[in-house]
This record gives sequence, structure tokens and C-alpha cells, in this order.
Amino acid sequence: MSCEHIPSQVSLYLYGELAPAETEALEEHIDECVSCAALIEEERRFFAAMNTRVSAEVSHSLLAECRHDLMREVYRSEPETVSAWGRVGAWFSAGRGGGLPWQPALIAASLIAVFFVGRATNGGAANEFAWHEKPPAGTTIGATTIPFQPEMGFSGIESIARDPQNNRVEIIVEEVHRRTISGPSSDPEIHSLLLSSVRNAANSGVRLDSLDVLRGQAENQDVRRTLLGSMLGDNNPGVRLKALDALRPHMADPEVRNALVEVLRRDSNPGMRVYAIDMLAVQPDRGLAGVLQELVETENNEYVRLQSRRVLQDLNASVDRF
Amino acid sequence: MAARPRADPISEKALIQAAQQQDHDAFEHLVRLYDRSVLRVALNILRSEEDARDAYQEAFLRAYKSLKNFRFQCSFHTWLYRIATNVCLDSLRRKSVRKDQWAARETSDDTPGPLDLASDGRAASNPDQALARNEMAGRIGDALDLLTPKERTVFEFKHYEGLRLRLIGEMLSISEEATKNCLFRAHRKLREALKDLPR
Ligand SMILES: [Zn+2]
Repeated sequence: MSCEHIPSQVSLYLYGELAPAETEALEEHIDECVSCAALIEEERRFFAAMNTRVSAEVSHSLLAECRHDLMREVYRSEPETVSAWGRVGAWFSAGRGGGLPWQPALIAASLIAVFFVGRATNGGAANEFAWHEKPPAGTTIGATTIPFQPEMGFSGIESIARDPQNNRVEIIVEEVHRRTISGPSSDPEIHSLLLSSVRNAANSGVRLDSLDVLRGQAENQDVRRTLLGSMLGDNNPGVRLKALDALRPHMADPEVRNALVEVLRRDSNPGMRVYAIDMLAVQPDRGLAGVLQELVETENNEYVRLQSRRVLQDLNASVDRF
Repeated sequence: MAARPRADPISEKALIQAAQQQDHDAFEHLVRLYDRSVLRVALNILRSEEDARDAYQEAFLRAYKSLKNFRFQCSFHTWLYRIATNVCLDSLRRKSVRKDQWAARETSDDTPGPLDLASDGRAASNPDQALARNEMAGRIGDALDLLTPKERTVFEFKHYEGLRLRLIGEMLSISEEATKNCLFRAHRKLREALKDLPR
């Protein structure tokens, strides 16, 4: 190799991008040639100078905001046909709880009906039904609004007729009147409305308020199931967090513990995952170390990983045992 | 993007397939495997948090929308980073147009960028050193600004991310030889701009 070839190879050499034979030839040359060795030294100094640049740091908050904005757009870009509540149904029916307190299949069936009506009457304005958080509160046909009431199933609709000429649909619906119900929270009707509201209310504020009333009643099986469902399936992290908090006094219930592990594995909100770790760590059981070790391996959020390690250390379990 | 997150190839394939079937959870999981490095590179290349956020959003939304066309012919991360790279290149190009328009204003603009702030915090114990380091960071930033968007991107990936030239070429849809030439031009410009730098 002669001196004239060296300048074009210096940086590639330092980057390790030369073929082995070229590297060998270059190194042989600079062992003999002082001026080419000086070129290498000069390039090294240039590299060192460039390396003083401080790489930008990705803060947790920035990353979390980016992720949040992105997923909001993703969910917004199309109607969510398999809702989070479907997942809850799957979770319960996977032998953990047995028997559903509510009926995702029925909810889905009603959604399809409402969606179909919407498409037929709005002439393709389907995005009106691209719900963001929860299923739509209702759909408007002409001047009449049908409240979204999954539990009423099809019984609220008496008949449907379509005019193929202008693509208009006529639906006869049982009228639903607004009324106020008041009484002690133990009143059976109020109790069941609160449960229904946690599961079905379109407005997350209403769901939060319902949880507030129910939070002290989690010794009741129906309430606890509803809280579990809300913690696992509600699309609003604030609501999920409130449900998680209401379950705090019931950590002895294996179903609550299992659900918290599920939160650790699946909840998209790092805050929820951290709370789940905290709650599980108060009364650690034998399975916890394994779950946390899995988390140390797979968790993307540094803070959650840190918390997992911290609890693992408290448990005297080796982080790298598996 | 050099320090690639570890992703079990089997589960990654399952995630991609699920995401192709509109499983949003699976998509989010995929995003989380790679988004930190995408965002870091965008911040480094674009030197603006706002631009980097926009690039993040645009890159992953583009990926989401074209995921159904992903046929496993290359690795997912190469495919994803190709999208992200193109988004950053576009942003740099728009930026260089803006910069030309605002050139007069920018020369007197001494608002610290994210990099300046970062170096500030680190060397705060020694003000002289901090000053020197700040000046150095500023000089390097200015020199990097002299590069064309493509040179800038190639240099970032090679020098700071340590990616192989072949992979960089793949991401930019240019040959390895063209990538090498681009890197040479970047080096020549940078060395010229920084020749009086204290060493
Ligand atoms: Zn020589």
C-alpha cells in the first residue's frame, strides 16, 4: 500500500469499516511511514473532538408524552372494535373468576347494532362513531336520541324499516325518560346503577364519581368484580387508578393479586405498573419474585424496572437468577 | 439507534402479525421496543425537542399505517428506522429551508438548544470548563449544521450511533459506496469547519 491510498482510508479504518486485508495492509504501512501515522493521529484527535458532543437525553416525561400522543392518534384513526372490555371478559373467562357479572358479548352485539344504524343514516359519516374512550353515549336518529344502554339489548328497538330509494331508515324506539333517583348508597337500585355506571358510562368523570361512592364497599363480591374489571379494562388511566386504590384493602384475595399481576404485565401506564408493584410488595407471596424478575427483563420504563429491582432486593431475591 | 433493544425474534414476529391485525396493544408493545432510540436520534439530529416530537409522531404513525405492507423481507427494526430516517431527513430539509429564510436572525440567536443545556448541567461544578465545553458543543453544532441533510444523517448514524455503513445505506436507500462518499464529504466539511479547534 502506498501513501496516496491512506487519506481515503483513515476514517474507515478508525470506524472499523475496512476489510481485514485492508486493515492489515494499512497497519503495516503506518508502522513504517511516519507521515501516514501522523494522519491517523490527527484523525483520532478529530474523532475525540467530535465525541465531546453530549448526546441528547430522552427524559421519561418526553417519552411518555410522545407515546401517549401517538397511541391517542392510533386509537383515533379507527373505531376500536375489540375493546379493552373484551380483554377483561377474556381475563375473567380464563378460569380466574368464573361467570361474568356483565356481558361483553351483549355489549358487542349492541355496538354492532348502533354502528349499523349510524352508518345507514349518516351516509358514510362513520367517524361519528369512532369513539375514543368508551362506546358512544348514544346515537341520534332524526330528532331522537337513543341512549347507549347495552343492557337493554334489542328490547328498546321495536322495529326497523329501510327505504332503499333514499337510504333512509325508520326505527321505532321505546322512549327513555330522564329521572332522578336518590337514596342511600346501600339502596339496591342505586347500588346496581352505580355498578352499571362504572361499567358502561361513556363519561370517564361519571365513572370516577361512581367509583368514589363504591370504593368502601369492595367487600361485596359484585363491587369487587366491578372494580377488578375497571382496573383491568377501563381505557382511562385515572379511572383504572381509582379502582386499583379501592382494591387496596383486599390484597388477601387471590383474584385481586392475580389482577394486579395482570396490571403489571399489560397496563400501558407506567404509573399503574408502579402502584401495582407497591401493592403486591406489601404482602409478598411466593410468585412475586418470579413476576418481578420477568419485569426486570421485559419492562421498558426505567423507573418501573428500578422499582422492581428495589422490591426484589427487599425480597432478597437475585435479580439475575433466571 | 445503535444499541438495538433486545427483542426475541419469535415474539417480535407474533407482535408484528398481531399489530397487522389491528391489535393496538401489540403495536404499542412494538413501539416501546424501539421508540427510545428513535427519539434520541431524532433529538440529536434535529436539535429541537419540538421537531423531534413531531418526527417521532410522524414516523410511528407512518409505520402504523404501512405495517400491513410489511412482508418480513428485512428486519423490522431496519424497516422502522428507514421510515424514521426518512422522516428526519424531510424535517432537516424543511429546517434548512427555514434556516436560509431566517439566517440573519439565527446568527444572533443565542437561545441554548437541548445539547447546550445538557452540557451546562454536567459541568456546573467548574464554570471555566463548563464555558469551554459549551463553546465546544456550540462549535460542533454549528459545524454539523453545515452538512447537507443526508451527510448529517450518515454522520450521525456512523459516528454517534456506530451503525455499519451497509445498514445506513439500506436505511437511506442508497448504495454502500454512496454512503461512504457521503461520509467522506461530511468528514471533510467538519474538519474544515473545526480546524482551529483547541485539542
Ligand atoms: Zn505513507
